[in-house]
Amino acid sequence: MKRQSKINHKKNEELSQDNSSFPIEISHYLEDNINIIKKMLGNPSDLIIRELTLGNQRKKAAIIYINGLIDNQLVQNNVLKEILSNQTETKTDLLDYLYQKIIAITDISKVKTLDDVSFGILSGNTALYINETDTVLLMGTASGEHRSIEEPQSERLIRGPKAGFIEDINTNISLIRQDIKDPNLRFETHHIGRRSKQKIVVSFIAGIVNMNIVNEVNRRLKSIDTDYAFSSGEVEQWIQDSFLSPFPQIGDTERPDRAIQSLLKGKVVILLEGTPFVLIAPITLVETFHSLEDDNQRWLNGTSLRLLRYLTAFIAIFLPSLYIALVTYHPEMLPAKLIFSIAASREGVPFPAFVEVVIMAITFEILHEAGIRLPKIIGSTIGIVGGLVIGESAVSAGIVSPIMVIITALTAIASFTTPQYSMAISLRLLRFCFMIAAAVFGLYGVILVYIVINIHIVNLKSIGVPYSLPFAPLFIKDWKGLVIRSPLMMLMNRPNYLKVTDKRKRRQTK
Amino acid sequence: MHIQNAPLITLYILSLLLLTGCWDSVELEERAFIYGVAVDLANDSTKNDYQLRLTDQLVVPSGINTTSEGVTNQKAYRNLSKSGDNLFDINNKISKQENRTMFAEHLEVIIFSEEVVMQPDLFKKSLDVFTRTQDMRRGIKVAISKGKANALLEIVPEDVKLPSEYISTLLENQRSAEVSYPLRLGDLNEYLLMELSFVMPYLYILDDESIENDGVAVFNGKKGGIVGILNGTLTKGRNIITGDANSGTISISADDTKFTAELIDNKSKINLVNEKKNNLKFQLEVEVTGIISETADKNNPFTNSEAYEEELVKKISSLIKQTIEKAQNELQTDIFKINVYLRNHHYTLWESIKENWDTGENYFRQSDISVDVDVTIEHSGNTLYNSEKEGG
Repeated sequence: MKRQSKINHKKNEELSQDNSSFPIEISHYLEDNINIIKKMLGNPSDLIIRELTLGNQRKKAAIIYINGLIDNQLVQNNVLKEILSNQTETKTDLLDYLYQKIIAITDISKVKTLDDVSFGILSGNTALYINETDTVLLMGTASGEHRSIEEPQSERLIRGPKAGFIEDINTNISLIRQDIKDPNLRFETHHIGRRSKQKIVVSFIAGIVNMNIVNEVNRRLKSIDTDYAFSSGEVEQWIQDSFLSPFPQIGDTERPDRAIQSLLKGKVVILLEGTPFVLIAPITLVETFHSLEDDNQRWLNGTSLRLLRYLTAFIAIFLPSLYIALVTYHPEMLPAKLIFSIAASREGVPFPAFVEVVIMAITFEILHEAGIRLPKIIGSTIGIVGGLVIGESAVSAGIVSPIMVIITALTAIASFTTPQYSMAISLRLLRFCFMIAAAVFGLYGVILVYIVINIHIVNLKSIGVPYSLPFAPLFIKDWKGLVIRSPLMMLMNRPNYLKVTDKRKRRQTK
Repeated sequence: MHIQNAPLITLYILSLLLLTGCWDSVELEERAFIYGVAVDLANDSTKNDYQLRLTDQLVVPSGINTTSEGVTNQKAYRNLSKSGDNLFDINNKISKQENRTMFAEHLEVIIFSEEVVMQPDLFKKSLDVFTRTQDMRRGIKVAISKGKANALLEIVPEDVKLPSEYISTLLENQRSAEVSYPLRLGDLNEYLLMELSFVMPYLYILDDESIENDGVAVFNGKKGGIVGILNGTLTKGRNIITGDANSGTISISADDTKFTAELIDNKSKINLVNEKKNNLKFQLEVEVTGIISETADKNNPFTNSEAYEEELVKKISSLIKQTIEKAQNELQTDIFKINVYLRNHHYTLWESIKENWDTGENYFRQSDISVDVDVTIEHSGNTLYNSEKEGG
């Protein structure tokens, strides 16, 4: 840590040295200002400076913006055209006149420092300099290119909205705003990234949320000191509670409905400019197995799907290790016929069970990784190569047993049922710990690792909220909404484990 | 949370795990599963010095595998035998022939040959290893064979690959009333400890591919050996008395009537009515429920089921009488679980007579058992049979 802070310190000095060669205040003369801006940005080809003369006073002025970041139509019609067509008017304070009467843009501000101007221009605003004036008009003309709203690829639902967040933070905020017309919906903006100056927005509903959580999130966000947060994943890693834990302590989602649901539960949603993944904090272990599908379907289906997901999580973690433990240490624990058929399928396999499992598990991980990295068109060949060539021929070559292929396949499929992808990959990692423990100590080892992980989970916190909620500390009334999905009539109150201010969620009409 | 020497600590933990672990690990393909055991008298045993012959049936997994291409005619089992003084020692001798670790926790059946159990106390002695060793389960089934027990472990029917599996499922099949319930090792052990008398399944070889489970072997707890065999018919009588005949048939074939009833339910209740030691009196109430499954009788079972019930009562009463007579006079052994009843309901009486219940003084033999049989025909079958057709 010491070393790191030294480096940071050095960087700071460099940066401030760069800035110190420029004046902080805006110069009185236009020529100087234009030169300073040009010099500061390195006179790039996309920096557009349109010089013009204003009104009867014949004052020189310039419109400065960066091509591509702004809406050209807007600048032409609402700024340039308006200014040029109102040449005849004479006023003492030209800037104020333009600000009040001429420029037809709502988001407009007066700034006085060079820092603000350069940041504004780089964010897609248009700056209007007027000669012999210390103030600059900054007009919000940012547009930039971004993709349209699509169905989120990473979290699909059968029944539910098909909209997903995109890279543009303003669109993302509006997606949340559209669904919650509550004046208490708050968006607190920070900027992170020493060089990127990205907008990061903390969203919550005042009146529901426990303000301690919001304050803690804000405190942690302010501590971020980085050049550029390339995704919300980096922010997550900056503000998470334990970096050694295999479990994700902050949720992420691409779905506005999930974000909204979390807000209404009394959580905090963090939106970052440039990424479609927003962060949800705090989360608990059990919530990573929740899907919106549970709430969209009727309660019986929702509950059974949820229970199924707990089962598949169990399979994804334990199945290979149970296989190792039972086959090498405790064959008496399986029914006789099953153990005989496993023994029969293992006849002629040259490896011990552990090696066999590890070979297949790693093979699967390789296939999985390759499947993600490859372009979609080639991706399907991975399935063929993996499923047929490796699976089938490994068995017929006698390297692995058919039972092992079944176990690997079942484990793989089971691990994909976890809705939170970051949790699913954690489970994959834990599986290997269990496998090693099973190979060394059998079921005893599996239980030991299980206990170790339980101790870890109980100690783990997400933004200061225990990860093992609502089990420990016990909030038994929240189980009906968090562990299973009870009928709506039984879910009148918000889960209370976050100590929400407003407990009522639904009211029965009389 | 900064741990000093973290790599060193990791190294310690890893070596602790990797260097010490795996000591109980035996790969599946290195185990030989003992699935069935047969205990015989060795050929060279003399009257006073018994030599036992133990046969272990080991599973050959590759013979079981039906999924592999091409039907292999490989045997799915391997029988190994040795003779010696005691079973554990013999088993150890057998392991000298086997390349894999012998593993007995999946043991399914133990078959004793008749001649072993006929010897007083030898059965009890040889059973000790099966209850004392840790890796034996209480659910292992025990049966008695007519003739050599190891011959049974060679009988392979077409649909089953392992003789032991065949015997085990055969014992479990309770569709006939003429067999006893499978005897679990745990129960057997309890009976032996309490010195109670009981019955054991009795198996004999029918032909090369089948074994028949018919009748029971009667074990006298005090004498510590088999005192005789009850044939199938009398076993049915015994099962009806104890209330175990929940399936099977009773057929009646006299000159004037011929029908078969299927038993679907059987309850029995025994009561002690006279507590005088030398003249114990028991009142036995037997309830049997049946279905007419086949009839050539002139009575219509639909309208006149009472006639059928009467016939059945007669038949069952005589069967029970026959059975009681055989048990009291010939075998002189309590096979009706009256001992269990007395122990549970009349403990002081039982304490005073248990030494002489079915040995010595033999109060069982002297007691008087009166039977009350009640038969219900639950339904007459599907066909609306009517032999007295009116108007053709």
